[in-house]
Amino acid sequence: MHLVFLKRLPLLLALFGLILIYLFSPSQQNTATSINQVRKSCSGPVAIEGVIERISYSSNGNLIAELNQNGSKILVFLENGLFDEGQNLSVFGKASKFSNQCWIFPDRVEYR
Amino acid sequence: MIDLVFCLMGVGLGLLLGLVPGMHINNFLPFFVLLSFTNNQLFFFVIAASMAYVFSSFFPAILLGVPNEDTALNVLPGHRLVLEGNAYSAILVSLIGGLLVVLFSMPFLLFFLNFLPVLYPTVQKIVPYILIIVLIFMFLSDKKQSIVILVLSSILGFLTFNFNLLLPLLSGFFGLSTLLISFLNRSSVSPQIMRLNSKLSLSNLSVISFISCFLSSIFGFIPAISSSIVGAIGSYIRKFDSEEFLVLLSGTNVVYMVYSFFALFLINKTRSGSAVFLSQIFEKESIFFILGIILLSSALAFLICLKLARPLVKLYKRLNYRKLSLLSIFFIVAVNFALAGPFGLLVLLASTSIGLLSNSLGVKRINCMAALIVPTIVVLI
Repeated sequence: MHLVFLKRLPLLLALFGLILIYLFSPSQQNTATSINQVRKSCSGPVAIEGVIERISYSSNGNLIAELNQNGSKILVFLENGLFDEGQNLSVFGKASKFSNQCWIFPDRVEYR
Repeated sequence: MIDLVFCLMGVGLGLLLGLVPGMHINNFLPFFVLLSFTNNQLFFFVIAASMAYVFSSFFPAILLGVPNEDTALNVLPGHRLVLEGNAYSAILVSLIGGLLVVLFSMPFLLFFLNFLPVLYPTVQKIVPYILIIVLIFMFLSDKKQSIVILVLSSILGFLTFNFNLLLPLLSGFFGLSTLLISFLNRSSVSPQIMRLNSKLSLSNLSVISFISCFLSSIFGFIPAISSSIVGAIGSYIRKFDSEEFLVLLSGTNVVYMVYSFFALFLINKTRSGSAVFLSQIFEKESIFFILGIILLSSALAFLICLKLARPLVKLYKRLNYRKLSLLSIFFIVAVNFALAGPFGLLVLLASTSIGLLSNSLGVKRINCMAALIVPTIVVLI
């Protein structure tokens, strides 16, 4: 009885865990896909793609990328300087208003 | 889904840390900051490492008698079962108890989602009084001489309260004193039975695991009440034999870690080192996402520990018990010196003396937990 239990319960728990991770993963919640949409609400989780038009530093040393998607632009905080202007960037993170502008604070960044 | 790799990495690291006697995952958390992981990956890594750590820490506690803050009381019933030749069963029932509480924590989460934010402030206010009742009950349910152990442990608890000296405190009370008694009494280990030799039925295991979940749901969210104290309280609610008590304690250790993550997300309180770490990167992740990582990593850790149980007990069986005891004694002293310094060794000496005294007075070693309970009462009142 114990042995049957030992084999099946962990597998069931692992399977249920995977389902929960899939359904509630923060990257699954990043639904907004266009910069225009993001700029309108400027809140909550987002997932957008665009070309880095310009990389600059803020007055306190933060690295900032201006992302362009079909003419619409948005500012993204970057954690490192591994990116170049002209690169395609996919950003998964949170959008938030700051200094009268809409910013994206990324959880994950992928570039091509 | 690539983040699942970080879950596997976390499980691997947690298992390794748990297997090293005297090592605590909290000692490694500061290094996690150096990892250039995304928040999501850190959630997977830290939660998986923490859950795997709790599961694998049963091995040194049971086989070597080396406790950490949470497995302090596991040493005694574990040691008894090892001497009877049931080390393999002791590990297996601990693991099963751990997995069952993860299962039971799900319905409790539904309860917490609705009531915890409302009930938490009220429960917090009455905890010192509950602990006073527990302390009185500890005294009344044992010989009169237990007052000596209660007083001495409390004094030592006060003296060490402001320092991070739980390792020498608990190693002396439960680990070193037990090993010294075994060594001096020339106790020998019976041949180890390499199959599950437990009289516990699944319903028994489930009831005990449910008690772990229930008690931890009352005390698990309260500051300064460790899982060992919850185990001590449980032992006064119902009489448990060695095996049942081990399941209760193992379940409490695991569920404490689970609840520490729930507490962070539901009431924004940190109840473990891992939760403190995650609180720095926590945004608005779903509690069900966290539950998913807990379930997955617990299941993985359980399965790996299950595979490790037989070879590790076999390795243990090949060793000469007296030599192993001596080695463990040296190891405990060395770990305490390395992690707590000369003052830690002094505390280890004092707590070992109290542990030995409780044995010679014939009173329960659990009274040593007054070292944590009494200072907690004073702080909370």
